[in-house]
Amino acid sequence: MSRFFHSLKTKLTLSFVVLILLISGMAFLYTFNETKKALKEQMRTELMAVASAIAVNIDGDVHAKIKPGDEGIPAFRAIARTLLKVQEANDHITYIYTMRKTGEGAVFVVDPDDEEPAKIGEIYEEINDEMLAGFEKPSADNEYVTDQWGTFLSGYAPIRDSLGNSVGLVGVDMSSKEVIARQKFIGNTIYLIIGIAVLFAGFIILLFSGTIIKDVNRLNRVANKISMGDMEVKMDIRRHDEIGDLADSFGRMAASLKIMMMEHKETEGKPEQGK
Amino acid sequence: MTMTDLAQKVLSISTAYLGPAAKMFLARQTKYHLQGLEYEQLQKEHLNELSKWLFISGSLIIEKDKAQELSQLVAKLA
Repeated sequence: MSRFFHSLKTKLTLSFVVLILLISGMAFLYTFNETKKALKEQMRTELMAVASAIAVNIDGDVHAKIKPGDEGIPAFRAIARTLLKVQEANDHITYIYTMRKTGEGAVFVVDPDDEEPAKIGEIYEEINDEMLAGFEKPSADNEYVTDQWGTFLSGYAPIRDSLGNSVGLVGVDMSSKEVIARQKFIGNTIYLIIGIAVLFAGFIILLFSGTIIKDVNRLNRVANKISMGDMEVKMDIRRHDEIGDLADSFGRMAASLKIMMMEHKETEGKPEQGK
Repeated sequence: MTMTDLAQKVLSISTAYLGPAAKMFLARQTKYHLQGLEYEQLQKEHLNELSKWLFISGSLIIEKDKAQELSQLVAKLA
């Protein structure tokens, strides 16, 4: 076991794998963060675009006249139908509604939700800067906002009357689950790609270090045999790298040693002359 | 004894394969297989025979393909 941990092959493979894991880990973190940001920005742009497209189709003069208790009037129903049509056409949109500004806050005007619709004039408690900005120009939340209906990323666009004055806004909510699911998918895909790359790299490194170590071991075996007096061994390593150079040098050394030993044996075998 | 240019060239090529004892090896080949020729007196007409013996005797010391390589390099000088 100790030999395994001290072997050059283990050290080489482990160092490369750790290096690859470090590099790929950093690459993953950077890519994932940038992708998350880009995805959120894309969602924000999409939400603003949808809100703007709806807002220009709502008659601001009619919207301005809707007051609490008008849920049954044709003007309310017409706006509600417009909102519902867009919602039905966009699977990832959870809620679409209109609001009106009141002092520092905002109240719902048209909410076509089937299950739990907000009433006309119902105060919205979780108002933020992006929503307030939405009364003047298209805007979208920078972070997820949690309210009584859930956690959402929302886009806003102003509803204008015939004079061009802002008389409300259209809000479009996308559930955070939708965005997080997309982020998760991207994260998992990056994990998978990096995982496969690390496995593949590990395999290549194992093969690569294996061939180096195999030849180093052969060199070692030949050196051992020669050191024990076995002159019949030959250096059969053919590589065009530093190990090949080492083997060539070693081969030259061994060949010279053999020649000198042969010469020595022959001289020893001859009878002494001229003494 | 002064070595001919050709003997110097063959020695230089052989040293790359056989190391510092190359001269001893070459002298042995010329002595036993080229009618007792002193290696220093090597001439072009000896090269084909020397090349043949470099392969045969070289194969006993180094890898066969390396001995073949050395033999061919020497033969090319002819």
